[in-house]
Amino acid sequence: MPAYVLLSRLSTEGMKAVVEKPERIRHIREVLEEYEANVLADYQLLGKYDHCTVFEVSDNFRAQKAALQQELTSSTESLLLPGIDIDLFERMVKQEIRTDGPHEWQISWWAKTIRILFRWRHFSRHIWQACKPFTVTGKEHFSGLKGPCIVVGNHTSHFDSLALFQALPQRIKWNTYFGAAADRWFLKNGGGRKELELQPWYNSLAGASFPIKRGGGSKTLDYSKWLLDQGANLVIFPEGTRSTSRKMSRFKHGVSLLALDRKVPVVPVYLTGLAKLRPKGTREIFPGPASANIQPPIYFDEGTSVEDATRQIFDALNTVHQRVLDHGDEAGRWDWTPDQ
Amino acid sequence: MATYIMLSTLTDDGRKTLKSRPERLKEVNKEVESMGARVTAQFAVMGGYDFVNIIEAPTNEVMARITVELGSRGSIQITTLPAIEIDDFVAMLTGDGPGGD
Repeated sequence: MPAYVLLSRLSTEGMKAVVEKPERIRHIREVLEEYEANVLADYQLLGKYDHCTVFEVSDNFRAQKAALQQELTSSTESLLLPGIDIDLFERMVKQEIRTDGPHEWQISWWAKTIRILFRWRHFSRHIWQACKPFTVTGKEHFSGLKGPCIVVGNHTSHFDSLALFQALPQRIKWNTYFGAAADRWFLKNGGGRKELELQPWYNSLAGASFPIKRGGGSKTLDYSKWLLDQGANLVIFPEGTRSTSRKMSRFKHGVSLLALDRKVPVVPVYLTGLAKLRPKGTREIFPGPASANIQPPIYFDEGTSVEDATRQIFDALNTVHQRVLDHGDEAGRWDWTPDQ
Repeated sequence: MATYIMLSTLTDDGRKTLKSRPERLKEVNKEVESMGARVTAQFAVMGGYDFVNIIEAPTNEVMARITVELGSRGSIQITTLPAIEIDDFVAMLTGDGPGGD
């Protein structure tokens, strides 16, 4: 049975009642027992709280009801803390989040072919339904790219990866992969949820994603390097997570480490309008205009430091971000000038 | 032995330590014992605090030492409440107990 700790503070009225009739202090215990609680310990305290009762009861709802009832009848203000058995808690903290993937087969010809069949279901239909209209500018920047590249974008919505994918030319799209949080999208056996059991496999195949362990250090980049070595393109959101403020979050160094190590260019893409379609924290979709504005590729000079490379990528997107804040979504185009 | 309720909240550092070394939770109990007190019950809780410990210690001074010792590591913030057994408290108010009229 779950345990609870109830810390309560007597009001002046409650204190008067206890002084007049000391047995009254047992009232808290009596009320809890009325709700079939098993009181394990009961103390009067000195300090911030007046009374502490540790009890077991069948569920949170009953515990809350009992706590409320004793507040009403004993003239106390209380704090109900649901307790977790310390051994169980220790076991829970020790438990590792097990994830699945990456799946190297995702770059094989058959996986790429199947992915084309999934394109409408996984990517295009969402953009078609929510982005009205969806505009892509600067596509010509991809025409000069021969080898693999890393596409980076600002991150404000779950729609970002879908929009970015939609904006890429066919030649790039065919062989592009997305880094996705391992603890969110690649949970082994669906993290115990039967309906999500196939999620890692589906995301590798249809979503062209691969797991990135948050806080996993440079080892997490091994698979990304392998993908680049195989001639694949990567899409990474260097902010790490979706940003909710008007200010762009600090960029993580992963993209620079990869680009410098494998000597590949970085293509920044500034996305607009997507945060309004499905803001962070909501499931509802509000259709509206959105755009993907592809900026000129960044090639790093020999000897560029990781910090400098990250700064260059950040500056490329942040300059556009400031323009958009000042002049509206139209200013997201790479060739936008103030006279337009 | 007097009873104390120790309410503790993890700091950012404490959360990191807990994640990397959960067994620290139990090691702290041994340290409390080595300082002359005993943890009689311990719960991880949800709400305004992270842990509730019920500790038996011989004197306030021993308890103060434990509080300072544990707090000095920067992993938890502690609120310690001296507790009185309810029967003793009622007896005290009715004048039968040690603190009565």
